[in-house]
Amino acid sequence: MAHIPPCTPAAAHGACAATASATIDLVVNGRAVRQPTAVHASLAELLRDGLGLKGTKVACNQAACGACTVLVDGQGVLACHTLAMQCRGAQVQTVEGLGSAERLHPLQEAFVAHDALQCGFCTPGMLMALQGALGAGRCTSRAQIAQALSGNLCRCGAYPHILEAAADVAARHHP
Amino acid sequence: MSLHGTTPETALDGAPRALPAWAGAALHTVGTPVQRASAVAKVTGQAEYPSDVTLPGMVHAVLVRSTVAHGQVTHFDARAAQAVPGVLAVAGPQDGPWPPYPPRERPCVDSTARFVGEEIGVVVAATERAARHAARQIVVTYATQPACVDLEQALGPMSLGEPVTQTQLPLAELIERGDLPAARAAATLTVDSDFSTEAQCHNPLEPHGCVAAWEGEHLTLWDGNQGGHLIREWLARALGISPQQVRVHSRYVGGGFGSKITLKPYHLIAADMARRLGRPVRLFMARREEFVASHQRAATRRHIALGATADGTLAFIDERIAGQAGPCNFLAPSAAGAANGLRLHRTLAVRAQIRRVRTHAQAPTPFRGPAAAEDIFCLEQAVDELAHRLGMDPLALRQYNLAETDKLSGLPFASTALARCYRLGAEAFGWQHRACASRVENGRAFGIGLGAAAYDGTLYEKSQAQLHCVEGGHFVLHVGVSDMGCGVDTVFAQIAAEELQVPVDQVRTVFGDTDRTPRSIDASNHSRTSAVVGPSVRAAAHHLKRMLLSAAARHWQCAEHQLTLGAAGVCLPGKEGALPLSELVALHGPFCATGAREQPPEGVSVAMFAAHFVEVAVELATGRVQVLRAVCAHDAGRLLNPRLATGQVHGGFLQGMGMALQEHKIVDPRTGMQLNATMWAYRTPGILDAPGEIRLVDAGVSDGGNSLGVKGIGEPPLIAAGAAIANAIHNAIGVRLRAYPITPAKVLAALQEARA
Repeated sequence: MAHIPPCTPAAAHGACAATASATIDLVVNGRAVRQPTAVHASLAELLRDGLGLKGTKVACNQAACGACTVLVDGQGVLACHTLAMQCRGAQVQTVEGLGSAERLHPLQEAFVAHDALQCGFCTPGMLMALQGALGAGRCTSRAQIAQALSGNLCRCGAYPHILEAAADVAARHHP
Repeated sequence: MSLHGTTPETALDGAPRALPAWAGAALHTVGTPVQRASAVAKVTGQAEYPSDVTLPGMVHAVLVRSTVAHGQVTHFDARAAQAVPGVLAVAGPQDGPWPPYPPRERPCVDSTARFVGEEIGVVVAATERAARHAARQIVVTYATQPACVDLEQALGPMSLGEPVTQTQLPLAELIERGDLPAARAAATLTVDSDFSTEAQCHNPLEPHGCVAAWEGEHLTLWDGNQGGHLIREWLARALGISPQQVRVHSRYVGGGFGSKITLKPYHLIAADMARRLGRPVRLFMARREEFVASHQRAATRRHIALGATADGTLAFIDERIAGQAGPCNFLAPSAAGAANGLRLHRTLAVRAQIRRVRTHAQAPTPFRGPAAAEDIFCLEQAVDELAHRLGMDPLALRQYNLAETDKLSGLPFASTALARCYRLGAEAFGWQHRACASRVENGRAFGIGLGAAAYDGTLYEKSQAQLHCVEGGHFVLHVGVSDMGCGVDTVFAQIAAEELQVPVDQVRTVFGDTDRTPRSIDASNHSRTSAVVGPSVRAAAHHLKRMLLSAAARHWQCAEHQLTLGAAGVCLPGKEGALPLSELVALHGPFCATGAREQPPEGVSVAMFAAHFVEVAVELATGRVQVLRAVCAHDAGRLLNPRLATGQVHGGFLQGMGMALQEHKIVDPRTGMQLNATMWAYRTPGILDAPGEIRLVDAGVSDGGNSLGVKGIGEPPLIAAGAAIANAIHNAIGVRLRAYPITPAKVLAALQEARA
């Protein structure tokens, strides 16, 4: 994880620090980004409001549902409760960096094939949590997959199809 | 339900006659697992939800909510809030006039607070963060009044209130059929029990909210709702403008489950502030607001008496029910009901006394199977109890008392495959009734249970769909619906493709924009979107096909009936090569046809049915219940898309499981404040809670209620889940738990009581 900058008194005071900001450098989906950011801004705010990457969803803003999961240096984090400042110099990957409509990532392909979604609002977070677990080799059995997704809520209840899709990819990833 | 403002009879005046039913075997697209049309947009993050919309000059609104359950705002001090950098406007009850919500009852912002969380003001600022910070600086003084925040306080402990002797809608309803005294006299065995269900939060992942922008006298709203046309009409009425001045975008919606059907205060406040400030306003709920102010499934209490004769004939059902309504009558009807339970089994007589109790709590709004789920979760436990007391297999008892007519309307069902649900579900599950507490291994008790469900499918309304054949010979279908994940982006294209006899990928669907779509339905609810909109789509396709064939017949100078439509275009037998539709459109210009929903069937009652079979394991040391597997047999009429239907069954079952085992709003009885208004404290099923298998068994038959043979699949999977789980718990441990949710603490307490 990137270096955490010292907390200024203004930042500690939350919204009152509207003027306290800094410019940070980071790499988002393989692209170098230099972005002025309020010191209290979350990574989700940086991605959605600063960079216009709306694929990352904020559903609870309570660090409880996993919808905002993105990868920071390959590791899944909750973007709603990660400060943008913590990601200085980091490699951030969001659902937009996973694949595109023309070139779907195998996880995306499997989600489409197994209909592993309904309303789709949890889907980006599910995909990124799985991508993090796959990268870390923590996604080989169905039990491990379920564990990897245990912090991601799907209120539509698409879990059975999500498990099928993920198991399909894991089997190809770790034959 | 009185949400729709029109009665079914008048709504369908002048509707066309139904097309002949499809012959099942000949279908090429309907009934196949066509890929969800929006899947690629959703997995790539490209699907735009209302909460993703950003407009130039857009500002952010946050609502100020009452912290008292009942009282008057006497002072609304906004000075500190106004001083917060970035704040553009702070408005309280004194800053009206505010548009009314719901119609005629209370302005959308008011000094009267009727529950904790009711809207008393709004802050608009350059950022949402600044608006939230400012909202916390507002000092509100209240003159508080005595409050009644739950059923206990309203009725007294364990009480169901006074008996209901006559119907006085919406708060009192009496349903009576048959000769109850005679049926009671005929019964040789009676079971009498008290049950309860708790309030359930919809908790969709995308919070409620909208972006509102005015251009002159025209309002555009990007809104998460279950039907843009209803929001458009209600919003126009509340604002005193014509519906033509309102455009509602609601293409992709991050979950609704009933909560996003009706107009809510936030719609009006966003529209009003956008007009006052002359800038687009974004207003979305924080998660806490989703819990405290975005409505709920009502808590209910009920006393159920069931009687049977010695041979297992169900003689009567006699129920007293109290459901928690909120502070107004308008949304009270979904607080409690009994109709669907009463039509589920054949009985000699039924009676339900239903009381909907006004409280200082947020109003109930439909939640997937509203009133029916609470009712059938309890009734189907009572039926199981009766079977147990009779020493009968609960499956056999239900099969023996199969309803052939709708007890309430007296009409025969248009179709009922409940018998098939029982038979095919039991086969798939491997149902073999066994004695209670007969299997304990390694500290875990295993049990099996079943529960059935009925759900009326008669909420019709006028519906229109439009189908175009445009340049290039492509089909574009326009339907006025929103996609909350149920598959409206996919199934209507399937219906059009089926009727046109073209591949489904030649049909693109336009939806979620009131300016570009006809009024296909007011809002998706009551498991009826396919059954209401589907026939109008088919009618549009039927008309368009006739137009295309007629144009081709003129082109070829032949009779129309000789021609067929297919993937390549119009074909004439014996003639080499088809006439491509692209060429036909190039010659004649684009084609457009409108279809209207056919007349509803007369003299029949339409209902969906289900039977769920469940196996659970109960950990005796902790009281934890794990649902191991579920077989869900459904009579949904013809399934349009088995893959999407399976998703509906998974989701419905899991939400029912949540309601049965986990979900409980904990409200402080002194203050009316919800104590678990977070996603981690209000537990909903996660992936580790999901059963190893939830299997859909399609037991349906094509239904005579419409020309497609469809009924619905959205809500019955939730309704049937709860009692099946509770009955399996009883089968596992030999103790019956009648107060949902059946939490580990309740299981442990019940086990201890049974041992004592």
